[in-house]
Amino acid sequence: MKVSDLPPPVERDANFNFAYLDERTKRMIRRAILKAVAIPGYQVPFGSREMPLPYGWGTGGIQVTASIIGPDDVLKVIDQGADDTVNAVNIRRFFQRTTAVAVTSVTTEATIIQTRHRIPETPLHDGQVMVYQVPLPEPLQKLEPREAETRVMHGLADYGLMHVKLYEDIARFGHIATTYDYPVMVDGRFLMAPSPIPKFDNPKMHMNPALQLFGAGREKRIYAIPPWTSVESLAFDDHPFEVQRWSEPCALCGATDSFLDEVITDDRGGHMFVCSDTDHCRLNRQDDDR
Amino acid sequence: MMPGVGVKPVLRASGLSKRFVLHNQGGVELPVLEGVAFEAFPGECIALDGPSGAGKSTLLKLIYANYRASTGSVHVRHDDGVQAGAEVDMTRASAQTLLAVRRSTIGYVSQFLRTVPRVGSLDVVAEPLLAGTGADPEALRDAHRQAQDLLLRLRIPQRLWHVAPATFSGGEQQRINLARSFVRDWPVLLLDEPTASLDASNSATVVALINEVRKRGTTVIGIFHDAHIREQVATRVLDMGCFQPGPRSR
Amino acid sequence: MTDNPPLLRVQGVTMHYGARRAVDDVSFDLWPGEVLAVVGESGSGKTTLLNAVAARVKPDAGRVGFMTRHDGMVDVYSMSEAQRRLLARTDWGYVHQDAVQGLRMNVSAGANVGERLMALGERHYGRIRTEAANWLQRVEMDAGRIDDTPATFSGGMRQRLQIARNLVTRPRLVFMDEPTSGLDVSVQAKLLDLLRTLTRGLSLAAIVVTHDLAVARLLAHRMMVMKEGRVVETGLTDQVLDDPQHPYTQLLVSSVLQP
Repeated sequence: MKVSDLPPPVERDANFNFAYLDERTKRMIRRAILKAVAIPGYQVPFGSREMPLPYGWGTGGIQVTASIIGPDDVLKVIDQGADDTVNAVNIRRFFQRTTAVAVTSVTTEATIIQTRHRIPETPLHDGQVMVYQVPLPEPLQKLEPREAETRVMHGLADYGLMHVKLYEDIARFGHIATTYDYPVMVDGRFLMAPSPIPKFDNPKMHMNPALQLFGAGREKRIYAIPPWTSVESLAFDDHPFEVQRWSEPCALCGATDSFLDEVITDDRGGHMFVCSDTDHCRLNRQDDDR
Repeated sequence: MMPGVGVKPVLRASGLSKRFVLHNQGGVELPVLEGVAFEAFPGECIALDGPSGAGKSTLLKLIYANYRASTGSVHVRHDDGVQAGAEVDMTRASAQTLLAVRRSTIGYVSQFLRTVPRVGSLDVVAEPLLAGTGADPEALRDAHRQAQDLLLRLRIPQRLWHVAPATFSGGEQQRINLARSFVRDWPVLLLDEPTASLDASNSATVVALINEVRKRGTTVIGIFHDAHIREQVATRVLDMGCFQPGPRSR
Repeated sequence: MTDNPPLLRVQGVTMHYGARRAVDDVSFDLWPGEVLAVVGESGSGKTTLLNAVAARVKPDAGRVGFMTRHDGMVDVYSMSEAQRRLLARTDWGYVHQDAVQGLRMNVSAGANVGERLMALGERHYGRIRTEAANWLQRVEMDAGRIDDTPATFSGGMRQRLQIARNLVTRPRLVFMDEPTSGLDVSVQAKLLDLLRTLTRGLSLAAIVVTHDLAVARLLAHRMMVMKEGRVVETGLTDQVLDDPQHPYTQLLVSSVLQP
C-alpha cells in the first residue's frame, strides 16, 4: 500500500478543533514533551484527557500525536507492526477526521509514526517522530508497588531491584525470559519501560536518528528518547542481552532479519512464520518481483 | 609467702562496700560488705574465709565488676596493649575497659556454668583463647589442642567433647567451667567453690591446676569451702569477719 | 581500647508522638564489635529509638553520628538521601521482627540475598548466585532452596534468610528489632545461637531491641533499660541483670520466670 492505496483524505470535521484536543491542552502536553526530551527517560506527569477511545486503546499515544501533529505531517499508524489492524485503522481514521492530514503505510514517507508494540524494521531517519502507546510506564512497579518509593529510586538512580527481576528469570528459566517491555537504561541515567515492544526491537532505540515519544494515558505519564541517545538493555555480564531468533525465514517474503509472527493456518497444527511488519514484508516482495 | 620488697600488687581494694537496695520491697537496704581493703600480689592464693552470708561471693563479684560497688575501689593492673601495668579501677571503668579486663586479665569461675545452647564442650573451653583472633584456623587448632589437654586432665570423656554441656551433670558442668578458665593464664583468677561438686580425684586435679598457675605468677582469689582443699592451695587467708557492716543508724 | 573512637555516637535523641515524648534525650556510644541490648516493655520507646538511630525516622532532636569508612564520624541525618541509602545497604543491616517486612516474599531466596549486591553494581549472575548460596549455608539453610520463595519457608527460616540478606555486604552494624520473638521456643534458641556466632565471628556491632532478658543475656555485651522513653539504667549485661540498681530494672529482672 502506498499513500494512494489508503482511503482518500477525508474532509476535516469542523465540529472538532484540529486534532481533537483544544489548543491549551496541546500546549500543556507539548510542555510535558519538552521536559521529557530535556530529561531522557524521565517520566513527566501530565494532565491526561478523556479521549473518545477507551484506555488501553492508545489514549496516551493519541494525545501525544494530537499535540505535535500539523497539517503538513504524514501519519503512519501501526499495531503490532501492521497498518491494517483494528487499533491502527481506528486511530488513523480518527486523525484523518480531525486533521485531514495525509496518511501512509510506508515507513520512510511518514513524519509521525504512532505505534503499538513494534518499531518498524525499516530504519528511521532524521526528522521522524515515533509515538509509542504505553500501558505501564513504570518499570519498577511490579517489584516495588509504592510509587513514592519508585520515584525516589529513579531520583537516586537506585536500580538494583531491576536486576533482581532478571536474576529471577535466569534462576527460574535458565535465561532472561523477559521477551517484551524489556527494561532499558536511557542515556546512562534513567531506567525506562520501552512499552511492550519485543526485545527484538530494543537495539533499534539505541542512537536512533528519530525522536521517540512515549505516552501513557491512563497512568498520565509522558517520556522521551531524543535523537541519537544511548539506550542500553539491562543484562548480566555472564548472561548478556540477546534478541529473539527464528529458525526459518518469513514464509511470504523470505526475510531473515525481521521479527516474525507465528500464524496458524489450519486446525491440524499447520502454521507459518511471517513478518510482523506488514510494510517491510510488502517492500521485500516488491523487490523480489522486480 | 610474702612478696619481696618492691613487688607491686596486682590488685588492691580499698574502702570497698556493697549494700543492696531493694526498691520493690519497701526500699529495704541490705548491707553486705563494708571497708574491704587488701592487696594481692603475683603468685598468691588468697582464700576468703567466713561463714556463709559473710559476702565471700559478693566480694568476688565486686572484683569482677559483676556487682557494682556502693563505695570504694578495686584497682587491677591491666596490660591494655598501650601501657603495661596501668591500673584500672573496676568500680569506675567504662564498659569497654571492663570487657577488655575480662578478656585478658581477670578470669572468673562461678559456681554455675552458664551454658550456650548448641556449642560443644570443646568450643566452650577453647573460647577464652580465641578472643580477638578472628577465624584464624591455625589459632583454632591450637586452642582446640589446649582445650583437649584440659578436658583429658579433668576426665571429661571424649564422647562428650562435641556435645553442648547443657545436659551434663553438675560435676561435669563444673569441670567444663574450670577447664574454660584454666585453658589460659590470667594475671588474676577468681574461683567460687571450684571443687564443690567434684569427687576426690577431680578435686586433686583442681588443686594441682591452681598450684601450677600460681607458680606461673597468677594471683588466685578463691572461696574454698573444703578446709582440706584450702590447706593445699591457699598461701594466705583473708578473714571476711573484718569486713562485716557494723550496726548502722538508719 | 577506650581511646578508640566509637562506631556510633547517639546524642540527645528525642522523639515526640504528639505531646507525648516517645524517646526522651537518649545518648549512648556503641563500639566496633559491641552488641548492645535495649530492653523495656512495649511502649517504652525502644523500637522508636531503634528507628531513629537507624536513620529510618528522623528524630525531633539529637544527633546520630556514624564512623564511616572514609569520612570519619558523620551525622547520618546530615547525609544526602543517596548516601544514607548506600550506608543502609552496605555498612548497616536491619533485621525486622516480622521477616515479611524485611524480605521480598515473591522473589527467590537467592535474589533476596543477592539484591544488595546487585544494588551495589554486581552484574555477574554466577558470582551473585555463588555468594547467595554461601550465605544460605552460613545461616544454616539448605542451599538447595535457593530458588524457593520465602513464602514457602517457616518463620525461623525466613528470619535466617533475612539475616543472610543483611550480612551479604559484610556490614559493621546491624539493627535488630525483636529478632526472635514470634518464633517457637526451640527455633528461638537456634536462631539466638546463630546470631551469637555471627556477631562474634564477624565482630559485628549490633543494637538488639528485645523485651526478652534471656536474649539480652545471651547476645549482648551491654544493656540499656528503657522506661517511658528514658534510659533508666545502663551497664554490662551481667551487671544489669545480676545487680540491677534502678527500681524499674529490679522489677523487670525479678519478674522473669526461671524455668
